[in-house]
Amino acid sequence: MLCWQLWSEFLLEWNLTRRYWFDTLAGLLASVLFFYSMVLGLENLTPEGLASLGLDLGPLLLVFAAFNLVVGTFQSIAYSVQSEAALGTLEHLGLARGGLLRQLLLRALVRGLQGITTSALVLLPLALLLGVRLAPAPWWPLSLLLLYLAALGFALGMGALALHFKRVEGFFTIVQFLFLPYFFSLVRFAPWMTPLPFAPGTQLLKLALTGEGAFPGLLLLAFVQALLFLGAGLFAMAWVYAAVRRRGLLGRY
Amino acid sequence: MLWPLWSEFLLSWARTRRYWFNTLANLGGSLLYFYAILLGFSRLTPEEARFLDPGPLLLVFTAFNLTLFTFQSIAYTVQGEAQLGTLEHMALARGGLLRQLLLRALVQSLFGVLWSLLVLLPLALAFGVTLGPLARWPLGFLPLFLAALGFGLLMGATALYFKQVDEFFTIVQFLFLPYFFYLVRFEPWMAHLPFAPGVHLLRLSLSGAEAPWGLLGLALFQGLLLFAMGLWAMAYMYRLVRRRGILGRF
Amino acid sequence: MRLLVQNVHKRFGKLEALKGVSLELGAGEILGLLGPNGAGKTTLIKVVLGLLLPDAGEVVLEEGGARRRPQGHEFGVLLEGSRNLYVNLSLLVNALYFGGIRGLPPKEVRPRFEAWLERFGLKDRLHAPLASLSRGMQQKAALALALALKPRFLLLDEPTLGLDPVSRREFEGILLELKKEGWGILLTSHDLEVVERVSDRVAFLHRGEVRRQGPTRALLRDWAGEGYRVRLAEPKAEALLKALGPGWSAEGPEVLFFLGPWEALREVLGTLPVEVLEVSRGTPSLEALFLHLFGEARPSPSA
Repeated sequence: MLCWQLWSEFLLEWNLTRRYWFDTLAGLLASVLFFYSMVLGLENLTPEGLASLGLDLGPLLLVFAAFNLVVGTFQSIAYSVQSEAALGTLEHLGLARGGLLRQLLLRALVRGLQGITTSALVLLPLALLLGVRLAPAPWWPLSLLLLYLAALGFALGMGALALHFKRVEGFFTIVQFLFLPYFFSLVRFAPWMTPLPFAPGTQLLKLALTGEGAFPGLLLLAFVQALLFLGAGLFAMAWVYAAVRRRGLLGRY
Repeated sequence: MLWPLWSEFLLSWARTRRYWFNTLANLGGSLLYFYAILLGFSRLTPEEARFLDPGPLLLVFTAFNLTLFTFQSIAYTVQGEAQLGTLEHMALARGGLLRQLLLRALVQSLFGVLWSLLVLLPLALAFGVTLGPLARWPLGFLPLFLAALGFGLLMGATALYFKQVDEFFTIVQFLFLPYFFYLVRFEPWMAHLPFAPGVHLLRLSLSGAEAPWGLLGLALFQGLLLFAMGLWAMAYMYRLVRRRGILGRF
Repeated sequence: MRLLVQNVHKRFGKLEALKGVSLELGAGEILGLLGPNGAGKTTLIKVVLGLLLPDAGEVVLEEGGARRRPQGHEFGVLLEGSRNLYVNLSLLVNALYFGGIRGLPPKEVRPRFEAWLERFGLKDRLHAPLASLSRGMQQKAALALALALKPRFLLLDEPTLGLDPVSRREFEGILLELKKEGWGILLTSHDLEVVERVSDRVAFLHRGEVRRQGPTRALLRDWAGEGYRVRLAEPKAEALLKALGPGWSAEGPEVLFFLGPWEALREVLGTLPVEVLEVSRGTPSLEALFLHLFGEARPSPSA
């Protein structure tokens, strides 16, 4: 049963990609430009070059791909809620087996996978072009997963807001300031940063992508943070879903 | 003309109230954004590298924000109306879709100016910045706004056909990089690049320097050219989508 | 198998949208839910679907002695208006998507959906975007999808909206066939002729309350001989209707029906600008009954 629900989301994503092919292509091109200018900028503008960040070009590309994925995940659920409400199909989505929440999670998963595919499509040509080599530690998917789960938890929180307020894109501008620690922790990770949102996960990812070893303490911290975010996000979403159904606001845009 | 304009005010106000959370968040976001720019500029930039005082800098960034917003507003309107299924109804406006879209862009820009003021005034007070020699600021901004509106119409024409064009804006944003380059150092060869004379004019008017007539003429010419191109593209595309029957389709 | 709505209350601020509504729908039965605009019909349907949570009361599915809360995916639904599907995607993608999110594989959904489309004369539009179809066709496509999901119960909110007379007739036939196959159908419609012809039972909902419910025939029998059929000399029934108060309906170009006391009728008869050929006692149609029960809710044009 669940597999067909997941399959449905793939079907929808594929058809939307085809329907808005211009936007899809533009997105790909924009990502290539974005990554290229990022690499170029960091290489030429940083006083001591990339070495001062403790990152080679390859891991840097991967870190930014992960960053893109996390930002994409952040917004995906709220964006789904908003556009479904605008189209008037949110209530119909609420009739999914297992309810709206499950279907939105499946959609977020598919969007995440699509993000990974897009990143691969962008990164591989760039890696070839710039002659970078990637030598991540074998456990890098685990670190990415932990960061992704934390982002998903946060996305659920944003989705809960969108379920009630419907339009929340302005709020993302504020939320983006939360990403500042991401950059700080990337450049120089200090112990006091550990409780900051996403900081341990990011540091873990950086260690994994540069092929270094990870401390079990950091792993545990990232794990706990991911679980905490996910738990809080799920709770917020379930609570608001019940509240909007009580108030009759679910389908309203 | 008065009532179609009034209608757009009514709609903008109703949406501001309906999505009050988003409106407030936007205000809060802008406040944080400008605060961070001011803080970064005054703490992190060496004295000799500061090309503007904090006051004019705030205004430059406001103009930048408004320009960026104008860039996207028409396309977003088209996309949003198509999504809601009201684009065809909007096209029944007196004078047609194009005129109503322009009116909406105008009203949205005015709302943008209002929000900017709500953000800028507290910040200017908090930082004690003076907005000094800025009487000609609107004149310096006008050619830039016109150029941005023309570009906004071009984007709107793209949206009229393809409907969803958000990602395309990401590419378009790279066009703004020169904006920053001109701001820091303007050279004669840059004069023909898009937006360059307008931005330079804005900077001159904000720093109180005298603007050469040639630059003003060039900026105005560029603004009018982009505006005319945008109008033509929009009119062409409007006819095309009506011929193909895809006006209201999302 | 029965679907039970038990004493459901729902309030939005000061507005009490549902005041202790209780209904019952069995398999192989069509229940017509009637009421003027704003009576609470759509609210009730959303409560049944779980898209709206009631303040009190419950919705229960009774099956083989076991009782449980039904899930949204167990219903075939046509929500009011045309906002059921993705207008930017094709009919087929919509069917496969909305089937999939209910846990149904495409090999089950597609043949059924295509069969229903063929029946509605839309087979050749399988790959067309929904937005390229007329309103009536979109309604048929949404209906075909609701049917293709083969649910236990069908909840149809204004299903005949936008359908042409031929399609409406065909739709009636389909409903009767589905009933024979054992589907339970809840139908709201302002097309009272359709409801009268297909429903086994009707419930009148007014301001959130079930005013009356029962078997359609029995309800009409209760009112047998309670009204008056007025035959006119000229085909002006529709035109006259505008000037007449509540309780009046037109049964044809030359026939008016009045449900109310004889004294009230006698008063009006004297003022009619058309010659009256005959007045006889008669049984009201569902439409006449509806107007009688709810006519006072709307100001009459002559008022």
